[in-house]
Amino acid sequence: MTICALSYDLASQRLSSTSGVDLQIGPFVFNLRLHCPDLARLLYELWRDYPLAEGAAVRDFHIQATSNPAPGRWLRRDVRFFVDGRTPFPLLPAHHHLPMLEWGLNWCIAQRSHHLLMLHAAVVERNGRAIILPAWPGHGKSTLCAALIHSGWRLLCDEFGLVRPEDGALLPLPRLIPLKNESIEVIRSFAPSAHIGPSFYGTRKGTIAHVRPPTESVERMHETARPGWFVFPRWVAGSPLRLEPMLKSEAFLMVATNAFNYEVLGQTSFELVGRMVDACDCYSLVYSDLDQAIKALDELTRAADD
Amino acid sequence: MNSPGQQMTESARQREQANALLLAALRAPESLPGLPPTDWDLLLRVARRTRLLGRLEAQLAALGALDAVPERAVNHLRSARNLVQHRHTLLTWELNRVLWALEGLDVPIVALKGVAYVLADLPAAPGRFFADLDLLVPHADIQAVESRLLERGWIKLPLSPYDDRYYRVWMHEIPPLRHRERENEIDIHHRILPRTSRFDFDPAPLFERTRPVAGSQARVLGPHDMLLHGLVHLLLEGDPQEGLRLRDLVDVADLLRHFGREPGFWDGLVPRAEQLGLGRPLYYGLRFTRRLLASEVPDPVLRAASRWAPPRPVGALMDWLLPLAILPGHPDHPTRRAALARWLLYARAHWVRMPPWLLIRHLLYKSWLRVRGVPKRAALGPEELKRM
Amino acid sequence: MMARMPDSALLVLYIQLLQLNLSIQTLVLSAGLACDLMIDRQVRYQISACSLVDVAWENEHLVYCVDSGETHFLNATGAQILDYLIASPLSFEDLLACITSVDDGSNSETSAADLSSFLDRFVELGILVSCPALSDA
Repeated sequence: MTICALSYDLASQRLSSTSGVDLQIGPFVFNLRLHCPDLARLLYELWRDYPLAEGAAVRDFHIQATSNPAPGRWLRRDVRFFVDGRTPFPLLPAHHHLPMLEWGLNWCIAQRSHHLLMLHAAVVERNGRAIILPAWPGHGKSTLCAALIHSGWRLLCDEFGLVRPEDGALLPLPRLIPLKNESIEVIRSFAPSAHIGPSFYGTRKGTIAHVRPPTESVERMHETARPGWFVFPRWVAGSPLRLEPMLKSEAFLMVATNAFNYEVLGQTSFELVGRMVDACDCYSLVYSDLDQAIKALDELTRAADD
Repeated sequence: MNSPGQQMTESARQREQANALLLAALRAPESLPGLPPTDWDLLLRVARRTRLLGRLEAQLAALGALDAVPERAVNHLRSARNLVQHRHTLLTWELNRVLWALEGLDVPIVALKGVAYVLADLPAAPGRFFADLDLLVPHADIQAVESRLLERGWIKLPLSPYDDRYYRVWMHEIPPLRHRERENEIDIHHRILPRTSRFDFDPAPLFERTRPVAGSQARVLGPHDMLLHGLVHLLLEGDPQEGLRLRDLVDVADLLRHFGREPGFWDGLVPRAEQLGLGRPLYYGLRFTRRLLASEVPDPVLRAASRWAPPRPVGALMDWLLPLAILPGHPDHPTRRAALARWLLYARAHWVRMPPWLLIRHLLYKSWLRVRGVPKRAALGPEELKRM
Repeated sequence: MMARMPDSALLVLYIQLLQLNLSIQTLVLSAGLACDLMIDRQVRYQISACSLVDVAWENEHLVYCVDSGETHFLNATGAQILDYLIASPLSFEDLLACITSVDDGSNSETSAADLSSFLDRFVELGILVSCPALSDA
């Protein structure tokens, strides 16, 4: 049963109950308790396809978000995020609740999932093979990812390339895709069918709005994928499209230095990244026009499929 | 709706249950494969908070029992194991490089705590999380060691003049060093305790009983001294949030069990504590490892150590405070009492550490820093996210 | 493709990706770092007791040191030096001879300086150990 199979009243009542709600998101089970009515309404809309993990005895993360009157401030409310009863982050203004929750989940996953190799990358899949898009902040990874998943690719994840060391499979983690500033309008016009949540102004990264993962991506979140291509994207204003092969050793270094926990897994990471880079074709992509970029990736990957 | 009284007892029951689960897991890991999945959910949370997840993994792996644990729990145990393994690699390598840098200096380098347990291959090592590299060198050699390391790529961490002076004048270690390319902190000690501590003693006898280890030029403390140092670390070096660390008590229990089998260990323990003036910490250590972790200590040793028991009201207070502070409780039901107990034990550790006038000066300075807002929480950026 | 590096110089440029908080050291072929080095030509070098794992593509090699948990990137010449030393311990002079015979027409002064800084670096990283050559020099 998914969240949206419950009535809104029931969902929000369960979210604010003492036992909270257990949700399955990709390989993880989150126990979530909310004391923040605005956030409950938004989650009902943007997280609607996540299944309830009924009967999950062991939960991976116990998360609580509460909104309280800000100490010493009239009319202002703050939102606070708890993991296992502790609060690792500073208070944020209550109206930044959703970016805070999403960021908090990232923090939990990055801290506690060292049984997996966690690349910092967007991952999309078609015909069982995935494009891995590692990138640094500001390189347009999320924008490209949002465009790809509205052009026939399945979303695995926008932030974490989760690799299972045992077999090198990529695990889906279909979360909201945070778009920043101008990207919001870019995606709205590129993919009118994309469901985009409200804009949050004045966050640390400027304005943020979240793209809801397509229902199909969430329904298929137990289907893993094989790495097919590494593409290192970079958005450069006004630049012509350049999709160029990259040296494997260079790709290795970029993947490793940009991973969340390459060093923690030691030799396992070294061998795993080595195998992935070996098996994948590696490219750098400089683009300014989304349509061109999607088309180029389409041709690149179709050539391989034929 | 429950009445407030009922809720209170329900929270208290849940705290009891959380503590009991963790202690049972530490005492008898062989019982873990039979644990119901819902108990695993809670056990993972309390073991993580006390940084003992890695140890549970190590014990289950040694028993070959990981297959009998729910898969989702195994993921967290593996994750903890990988983190701990990574720390072990980093810090033993740091020691390897320190020894390389010090080649040619005729100075005994004694590894302390976690790294020592790893080097000596003690049962306390597998799965134990440790943060820094702690070394002991004779005071006479400390300058030579420090300047050689500074020549060969290590740097001093930036410290305020206050902190630097505080270290040099009062402390038992020099300000921490770090290699310019690596993240590990090295604490180089010349004593076990600050000069101002009421338990301060001359460290020279420690060097006489150090032992070599296989595969390294470093040495480790003799069994009694290693145990007593573990107790000093447990009881006299507090942390305001954690109070005392359960994992330090677990170390002590492990050392007792391991060295207890060496001939002469029990006979020499009390005399050594007497010689170093560490009788009171030994008394508390034996008392609480027995109470909480069911350590076995021969009766004659207990009787001999009982002369260091504190006056009765203090003893009763410690009996109440210590378990309250050292056990994690339930993450969803924190209590003010436990927070107070942790703070009191932290204050006690400081009280023993320095004379009142210095303590007041130190605490005033530190609270002034807090007023000025020294950041304590994680900032919200992708770089910070990756760094954690 | 980038312009080819001048192949006369075996030069070791050390780049550390510190801002990413990772222990990856990169050694690349590049042009002249002029520096006066005190080279002790009598020193012998050998592989340390560390276990190394490597992957290689064309002329680039990545080496993982199991003991330190560090990943190192070597160019072809760097990998060649490591191969020589894995086969047997060699003195600085021997190594220099091996390198310059491979790399014809190079400036031997620059090569010596480059080789020396490469070897120092690998000693610091714990992959090589140096020992004074005794009577066999």
